[in-house]
Amino acid sequence: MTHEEVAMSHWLGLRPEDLTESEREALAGDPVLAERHAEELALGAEVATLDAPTEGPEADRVLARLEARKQPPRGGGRAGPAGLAVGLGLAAAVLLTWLPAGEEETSPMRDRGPGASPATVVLRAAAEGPRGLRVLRSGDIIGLEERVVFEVWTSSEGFLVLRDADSRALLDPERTAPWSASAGRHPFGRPAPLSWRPDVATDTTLVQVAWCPEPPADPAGDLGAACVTSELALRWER
Amino acid sequence: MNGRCEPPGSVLRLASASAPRDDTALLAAWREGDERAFRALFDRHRTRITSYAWQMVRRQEVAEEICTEAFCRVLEGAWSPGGSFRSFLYTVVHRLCLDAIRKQGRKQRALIRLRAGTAGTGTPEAAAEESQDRRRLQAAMTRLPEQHRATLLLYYQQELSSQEVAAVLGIADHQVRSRLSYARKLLRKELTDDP
Repeated sequence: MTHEEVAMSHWLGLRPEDLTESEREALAGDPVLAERHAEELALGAEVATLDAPTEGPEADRVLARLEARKQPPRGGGRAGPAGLAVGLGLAAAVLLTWLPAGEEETSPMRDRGPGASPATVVLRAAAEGPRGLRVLRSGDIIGLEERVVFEVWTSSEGFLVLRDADSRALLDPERTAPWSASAGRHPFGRPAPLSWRPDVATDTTLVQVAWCPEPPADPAGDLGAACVTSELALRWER
Repeated sequence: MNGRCEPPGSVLRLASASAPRDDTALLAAWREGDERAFRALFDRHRTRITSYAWQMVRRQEVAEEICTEAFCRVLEGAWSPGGSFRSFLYTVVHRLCLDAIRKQGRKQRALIRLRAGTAGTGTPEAAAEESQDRRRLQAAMTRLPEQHRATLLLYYQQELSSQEVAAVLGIADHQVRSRLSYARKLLRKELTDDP
């Protein structure tokens, strides 16, 4: 097949609205090409008939989960001006007070499937800025003067990795290389808790913590089925 | 001044009873407190995205979980107006699918492929009624590499435009075209190899 023929085969089977004018003209003027195009479309139409044995969850399930996530943190309230965090150590102390206990926050995504790890890991975060600390929920916007303090809760001893879920790049390669952690709560940053924001803020960063039973060979790659993850979407004001 | 007092959100609720609104308007209404707007938005997409998730992960409870989690993320504010809502929703769903597939592990994926070649998609009764051709097609699709299966499903089953597919998969439009072409070729080969 020539290069031209290969390039041509790429648009065969596309719906009319996705074809360019010249591609439509080529089809109209070449019955053999039009026949091949129709065959490709027919195969696509067969794929379109595939369905699933379920219509999906009920809306109430989504609403119930949203409601559960809105529950106020245990033992905490909104920070007043007196609660300004001015030091990283202080941020950690406040974080421990503010963030909800890990046992209460679970997601069915974490431990599904045969062979899944028995461990649970939960990523939580607070925004630290001139107005103090506030607990972040997934999707919250972080202001221009705010930085993020992370805390990881895990049910089991293992190794933790904090990274960008999309690029898989470690948030801070020096400090978030896989670290050994016991069961319990662990502020991000060793030995002292640290706050973070990306060098270049995109619209959204999906931050992921992974718990693995062994140190992952490639923390910025595929972690394997034995690891479990928890994610938080952070949106950056620009 | 003429007028009457209304409870908060009542104007939006009245509006929801009239002409169908687009996704962006429904999401905005939900954020103003209109639960019916959410239900309309959810009903509009629920079956399709669950179907996509099921075709990717082949486990009903996981597919339903993906749909639930995807909508939670959308409603929690992960999406902001400016781009295509549908593209964003499918991007979230697709990533959750990949995450679920990674967690399935090699053995589980092999089991799913094995079952796909010998059983239908639903109950035993439904499977018995399912045509041989359809089962072969389903089995062949399940054996395709994830990226090619996703491309075929997003374009042909979910009817996303090639540009939307490109946005969901994070690739260029011309790559969608070549990937679709190669995926159909692989699918034909799978169908031929499994008569």
